Amino acid sequence: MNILHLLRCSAFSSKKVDHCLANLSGEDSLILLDDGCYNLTHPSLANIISSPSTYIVKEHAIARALSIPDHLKTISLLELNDLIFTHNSVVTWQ
Amino acid sequence: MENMNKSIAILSTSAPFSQSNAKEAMDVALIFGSYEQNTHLFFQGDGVYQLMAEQQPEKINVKNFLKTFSAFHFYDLDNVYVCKNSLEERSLLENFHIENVQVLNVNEFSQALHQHQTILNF
Repeated sequence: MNILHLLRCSAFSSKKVDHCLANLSGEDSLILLDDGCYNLTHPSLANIISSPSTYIVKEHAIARALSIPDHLKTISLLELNDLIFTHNSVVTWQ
Repeated sequence: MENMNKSIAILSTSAPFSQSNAKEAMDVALIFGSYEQNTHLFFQGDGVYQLMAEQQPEKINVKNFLKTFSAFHFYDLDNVYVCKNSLEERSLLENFHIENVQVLNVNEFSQALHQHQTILNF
């Protein structure tokens, strides 16, 4: 059973990111979107950012003037839609 | 006479787009400015993201209210402070989309905030 985690808040201001990371397992995928994009520079996500199952919604990062590291996969909202159907469940952290 | 010295601090601690706090803080600042109230703006925590250059809210269908920040001077909102520690914590450079931003360390920031009789936190 794998979970798609939608992370929509910033670890700099919300403890919910800790809850998300605590529940993240090997089979899961993590999407940074909306204010979740700000986690790019947060130390608690430093290792997870380079994981092959972590993605960032490109438009949301660009809107916030955030530079996306080369090793992080970008995704569109349309592609995110497809991911929802390749996971057993979805959890939104906001 | 005491009223003559009253000043207002607006403390903005929210990132710009997901909630309406940042926009509301700006609106309140402009209203106080219009009525020639002595108003100072403070950006701390995720609020510092509001000041960063090269943001493109149009990409996520949000109206670019940050453009209005460049009008602060015309409303006599000439005191804009940003917390240096909040910038460093987020690995942000002092690359702002408005001029005359005063970068203060966390102690100076607190001292500056303490100068005001009214503090509104958004």
